[in-house]
Amino acid sequence: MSAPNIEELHDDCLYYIFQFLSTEDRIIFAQVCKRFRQFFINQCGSKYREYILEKYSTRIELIQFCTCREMVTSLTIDLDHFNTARCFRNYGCIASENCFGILCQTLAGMIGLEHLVVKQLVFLITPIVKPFDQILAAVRHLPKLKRLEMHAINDCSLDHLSQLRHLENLQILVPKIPPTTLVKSCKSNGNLSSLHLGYACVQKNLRDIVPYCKNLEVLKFGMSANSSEYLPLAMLPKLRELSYFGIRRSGSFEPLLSALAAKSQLTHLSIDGGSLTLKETSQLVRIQSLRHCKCFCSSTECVEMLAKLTNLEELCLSMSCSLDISISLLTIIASCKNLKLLRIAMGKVNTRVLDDAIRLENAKANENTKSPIVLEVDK
Amino acid sequence: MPSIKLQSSDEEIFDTDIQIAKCSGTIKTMLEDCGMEDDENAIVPLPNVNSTILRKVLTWAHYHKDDPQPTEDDESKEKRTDDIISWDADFLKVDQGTLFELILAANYLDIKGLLELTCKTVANMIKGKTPEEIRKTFNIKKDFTPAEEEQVRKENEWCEEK
Repeated sequence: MSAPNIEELHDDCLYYIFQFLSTEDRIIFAQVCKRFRQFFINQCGSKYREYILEKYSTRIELIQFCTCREMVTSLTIDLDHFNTARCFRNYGCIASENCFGILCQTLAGMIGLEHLVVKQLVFLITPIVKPFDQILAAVRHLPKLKRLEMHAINDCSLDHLSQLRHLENLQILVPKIPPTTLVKSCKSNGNLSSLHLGYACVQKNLRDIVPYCKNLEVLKFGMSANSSEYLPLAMLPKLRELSYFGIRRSGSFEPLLSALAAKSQLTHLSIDGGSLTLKETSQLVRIQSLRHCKCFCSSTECVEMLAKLTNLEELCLSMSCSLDISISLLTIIASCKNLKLLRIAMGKVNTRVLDDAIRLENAKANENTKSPIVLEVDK
Repeated sequence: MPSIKLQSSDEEIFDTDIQIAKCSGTIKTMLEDCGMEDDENAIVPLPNVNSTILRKVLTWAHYHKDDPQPTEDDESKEKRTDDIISWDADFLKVDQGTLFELILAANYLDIKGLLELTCKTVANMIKGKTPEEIRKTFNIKKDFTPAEEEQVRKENEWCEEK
């Protein structure tokens, strides 16, 4: 037998050698040959399974992260790392174009990536052209990438979004996305089940996505446009959870609520912004499938009407004026037999009366082995 | 002092003090499990170790027979490598083949102190070198594909933060 060489050592022996090396030497070790590289990935990969690339990320860390790229399942990229505005900061990257190129090349090899977040949360000065688009182009073939979140405070280009194919969960919190890009992206990601759009990032033609969102179950959006722009959302065949947020026109939800009531398959509804009018409320309470509801009311009639949602399990109610709604809430407690959580914000309530009522209901519930009601009042 | 007989792969018999033999976890377990401890004539076969290496291992074990048991410590941190005593350093003035055979033997025989010493020595041969110098030192072939090589070259270009 010829004398053995280092490549004949078992992994447990390599491990002994490895633990005597500094991080710098371990990185060099990983660049010697395939086997050492794989050994390095096996040893260090778990540290990079969930990674955040941010402004303080160091060179040593980034090299290791790149080496272990096949192990990365969840990645957050804070573009601030590539900010070249040098005043007030002594961190981040100085050759951002080059480093961004390395990142993009690395991204293309992240075969295990499932969840990607790209953030631009401070004003960015950088020579990098269309950073969001470059990242999207780099990840477009990744087979496991199902969850994508993009946050930007300034306008950004997302043209390559429609080249992705496997998204199921998409968040676009940017100032604006052209409706055609959004429609194309919905079309190419047929399994999309959850879509979250930033306020007013689509202002018109949101209805155009409806024919391509056969599997959409969760939708969150906000816009100041006419109700006709989003009325067709009621036709989404699998929609279960709908959230609206931000300013809206008074009464603008009536047509959509009426259409949703006709189908009655929605289980979660949140209208976070703008008090419900009486007409809206009377349509809302026809959605008998609702189990979770969050809304703003401005009159006791509206609150009392909510008692018709007898299948409610969770009700979060905000009052836009300081009426005493205790009596109306008693009606809700009496008629919603499955209620588990009642959360009141900004309303005048007599908590003693309500607590008594809830205690009574809970005593009954105990007999029927149902879960008790919890009351939360934010003052 | 009771002794036992160890047999190397090339069938040489080593009459060994039982306390010294037992610094090997493998031999210790074998003796205890098979109840060979009291049998003067029992022969422990070590088919994975040849006589040259076994002789070296026993020399090392003899010198270190009174060492305290190595303690378990935090394994994720880099460990010191500059604490090799001069006897050990002289002991390991051997060619690379012998060094790796000693590692394999220490691993097989489960002698933690020797395994640490030999691996520490190899680590010292790696430290501060470039990948190319490491390949040269250990006669390792660069087997990366052009794409992998490009990736390695690229990832080294991450710039130092300023």
